[in-house]
Amino acid sequence: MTEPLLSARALRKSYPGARGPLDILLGVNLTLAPGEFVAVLGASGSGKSTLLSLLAGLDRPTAGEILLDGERLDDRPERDLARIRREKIGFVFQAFHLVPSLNVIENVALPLAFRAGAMDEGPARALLDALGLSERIGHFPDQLSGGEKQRVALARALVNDPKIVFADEPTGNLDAANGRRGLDLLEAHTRARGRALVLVTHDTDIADRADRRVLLKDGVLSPL
Amino acid sequence: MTPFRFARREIRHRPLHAALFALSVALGSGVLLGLSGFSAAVDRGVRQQARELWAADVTVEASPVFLDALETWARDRWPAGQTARSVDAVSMVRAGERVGQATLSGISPGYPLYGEIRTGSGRPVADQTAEGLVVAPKILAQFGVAVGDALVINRTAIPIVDTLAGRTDAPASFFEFAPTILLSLDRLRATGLLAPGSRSLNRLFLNAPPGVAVDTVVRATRERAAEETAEVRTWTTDNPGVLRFIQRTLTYLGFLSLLTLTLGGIGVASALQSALGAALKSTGMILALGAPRGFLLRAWAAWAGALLVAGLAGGLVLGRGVSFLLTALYGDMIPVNVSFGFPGRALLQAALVAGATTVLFAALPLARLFDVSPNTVLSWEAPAFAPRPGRVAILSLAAAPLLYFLVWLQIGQPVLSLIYVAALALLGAVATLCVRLFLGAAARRPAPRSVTARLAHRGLRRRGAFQTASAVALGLAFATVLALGLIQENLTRQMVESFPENMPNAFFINLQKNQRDDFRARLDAPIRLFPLVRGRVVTVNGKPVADRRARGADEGDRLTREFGLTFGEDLLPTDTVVKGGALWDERVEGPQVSGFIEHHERFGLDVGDQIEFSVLGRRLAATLVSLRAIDQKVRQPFFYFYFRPGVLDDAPHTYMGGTHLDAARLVDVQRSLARDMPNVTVIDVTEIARLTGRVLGRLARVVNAVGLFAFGAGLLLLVSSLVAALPERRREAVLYRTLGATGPRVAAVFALEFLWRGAAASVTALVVGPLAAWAVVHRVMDLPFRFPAVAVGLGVAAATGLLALLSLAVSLPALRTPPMEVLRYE
Repeated sequence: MTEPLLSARALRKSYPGARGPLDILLGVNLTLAPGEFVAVLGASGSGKSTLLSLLAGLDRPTAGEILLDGERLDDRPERDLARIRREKIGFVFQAFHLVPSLNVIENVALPLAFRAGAMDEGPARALLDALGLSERIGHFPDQLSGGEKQRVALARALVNDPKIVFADEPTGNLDAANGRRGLDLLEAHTRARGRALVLVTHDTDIADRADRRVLLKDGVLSPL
Repeated sequence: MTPFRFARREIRHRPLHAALFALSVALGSGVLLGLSGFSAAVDRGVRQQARELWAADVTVEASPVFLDALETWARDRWPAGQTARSVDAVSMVRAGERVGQATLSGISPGYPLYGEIRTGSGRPVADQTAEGLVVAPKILAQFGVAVGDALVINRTAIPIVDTLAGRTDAPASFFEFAPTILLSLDRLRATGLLAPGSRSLNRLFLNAPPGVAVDTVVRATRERAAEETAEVRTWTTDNPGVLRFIQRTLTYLGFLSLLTLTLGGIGVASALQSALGAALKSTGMILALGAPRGFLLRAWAAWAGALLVAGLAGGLVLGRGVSFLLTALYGDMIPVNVSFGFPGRALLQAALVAGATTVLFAALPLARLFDVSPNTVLSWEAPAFAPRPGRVAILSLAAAPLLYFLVWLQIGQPVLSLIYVAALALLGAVATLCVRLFLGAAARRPAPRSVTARLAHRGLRRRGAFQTASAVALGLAFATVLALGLIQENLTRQMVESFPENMPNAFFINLQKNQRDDFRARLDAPIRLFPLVRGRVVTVNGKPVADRRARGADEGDRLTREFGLTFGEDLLPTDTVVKGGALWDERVEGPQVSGFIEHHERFGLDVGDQIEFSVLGRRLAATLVSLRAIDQKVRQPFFYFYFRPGVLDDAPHTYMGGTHLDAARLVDVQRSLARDMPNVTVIDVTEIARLTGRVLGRLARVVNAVGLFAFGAGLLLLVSSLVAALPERRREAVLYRTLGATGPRVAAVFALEFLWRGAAASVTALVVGPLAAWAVVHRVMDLPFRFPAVAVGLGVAAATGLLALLSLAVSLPALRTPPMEVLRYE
């Protein structure tokens, strides 16, 4: 039996509130095999983004344990988490979050640059070619269409050859056609290469494409 | 929702932006209010103490012969009036082997007619001066003597009977070149120092009798004195010279305070722009809900108005502090007691200027409200508004005359105000060009390979939030401090510290004709001796000279004062003939005189004029045959009126000259002269340099303190623009960390970008600061300008580093932002 790529056990997350702690996650368990595509569904405000941030090492759980590719995330110093993120994780956001002062190729090459300390545009260029953006590598984000921004964001998520990609509503801001195309590309470049994909969505059509669907409700995760 | 309620909510919701706006107003207005309050307090002090400062209702300066006649006339005219006389002369004084200079002040009984001179013993000064000398305490230390000992003045030993404890007629001992010795006028005359032609300041004091208005006495005295062009002054309309000097320094400080106000204005615009940026979504929402744009304009105007009032209140408090600071820094340079009441008019005017300037600077950001579209609410990335250079140009052109009017209102001198506004605009344009060129060149450089350097390099493309304006303003603030330092350094070095070997450092005056050979033998150094006669210009082409008005500024030299006249055949070492062809004109018969070219420019004297002089009560006329330019850097005696031999030769005159002696030799010469030629006064120029240094040093303290406020305004603006850029930096920091950058790397990216921006401000300061300093030192003061490149470079580099550190400190919240605060889509 293969070791899970991602394993989260008894994850709890609370935030301080005016009248006591606000419990968002109340003991979430999740495992992910290499190359597996999991869709996380849930209503707005159910804690999907919070769960994503914990699994990606962007935040720390109040309690529980997270293992990614054999490394604990919940008790690591920030320096190690940064290393893990640039070596093993890719992100795609609904808002894309491209750096406005960097051009397309620089945005894509960033994760590699943080790993190597220098801008090496070769892998980024290849990826952008594969995604049909070779004509846009010198453009800036405000010069791109929504669909192009999504492809740039996807390229950035893949350039460091991650083991897992986290996508938070990646097609939420696109029209149906572009959204479908974007999802096709996302699937093609993750599952086809043996990368795991955790996709947060409230769209059941998108969720149907996953290997497994889970529902986050009342702070706990249950299979669908 | 009324505009005022909206404004209140906005202030509570975004207190940092509100605080930055109010602080910018407070800092900008505080210095202006403080200076106005201080000036008003000095004016009040002068008005309250004017009579005591002048010691009488009317003061007349003229030759002793004329004053004798005038006093007799005044006594006949107003028998119930009071009169007094004084004579001041600088002389060598000896006590044993110690020799030094002192100002001998001979006073008649009854002086001063107003105020008092207090003695150390408490006895009346008239009683004490009848017995001997009343000396400034410095004299006791300088000569190593005590009350009861004697000082030798021109071979006459006179006992010291008391010390000078204070005086209302000359309270500012700070400017004293030589310490004062008071004695009776009769005793001073008895020393033989006051020979005809010797240099002394002779004054007559008159008090109006009961029932006669001071103006009546002034008018009558001026009419009587007109024929002699004697100086007639009164406490009702004139200020003593030292006060005119103080008021001039306050005028120039006023320009510094206006610069601080301008920088504060830019800070106001930046803070308002940043607040509008932060409220962009709400603004779009309000428009989407159907609010008219007028509502938004009124709401934000109410926001700015409320904070303007708060800022002005803060400015008043800061201003009071500045007033006290100025009082402490000026110290004993101010000859009156400064009492701080509530100078309503001055403060109201300063508040009006500050308030109007704030409104001017708030206009441009408020105009951006017209750029916001209701669909802003639908976009989830902040829209970037394109810059509107046309709008900036139109608003600037409209604001310029208003700004000039405000400066004129505050300074009170139209031409000077125009020069100031033009200079500010020019320096601002140069600074903007420097910043744009520097940042533009930096941004256009090939992107570095290192990811830290590349991200910092890309950060230079960051738009909006007054990025350029803050660098320009910071550069100007920096330039102000740099310029002040360079001016100080140049003036101190050239006027105080440096003494070229070939320049005279000692001048000898009051040398009698029959002493010249003995004097030269004692000196044993080359010296040219100039004959010297004191005289006044009475008429030009038959018209009284008092009627000639100076062209241009009212300040500056007067044609009605007493001049040192000399005669000779050859051109003086300081001079160049610039009008008239040659020094003397062989075609002109009768007495000839050569004049000063500035008297031509200011008073209209010209070649061919007939000028009548009064010399020791006698009239003589001469033809003006040439005009000379005088190079005062040559440091030899110079004379505005130079006669051809044959006119003044028989008039009682003394001799003067200057030479260079080493310090030990000078002391020997002083001792020798004090013993055997006590009438000869030795002016040690290093003493003058020391006084100059003292004055410059004190002024530097004052100017630097005010200049620091300008720098503070620049720093506040920097903080304001950093706060405005914080949301964008937050996003970037989070993104970089999400993509695998460590916290220190993100900090390094920002730090490098801040170094670039700080360098832009520093380079601007390096261009603008020395330019301004050069203009003051070389063009205004006519001195060579030196630029200490290494010291300035090191200072600027250190300042750049500090600016970068400050910027990083302000931007720290961006580095600590939890990722999901930014990454979560709302």
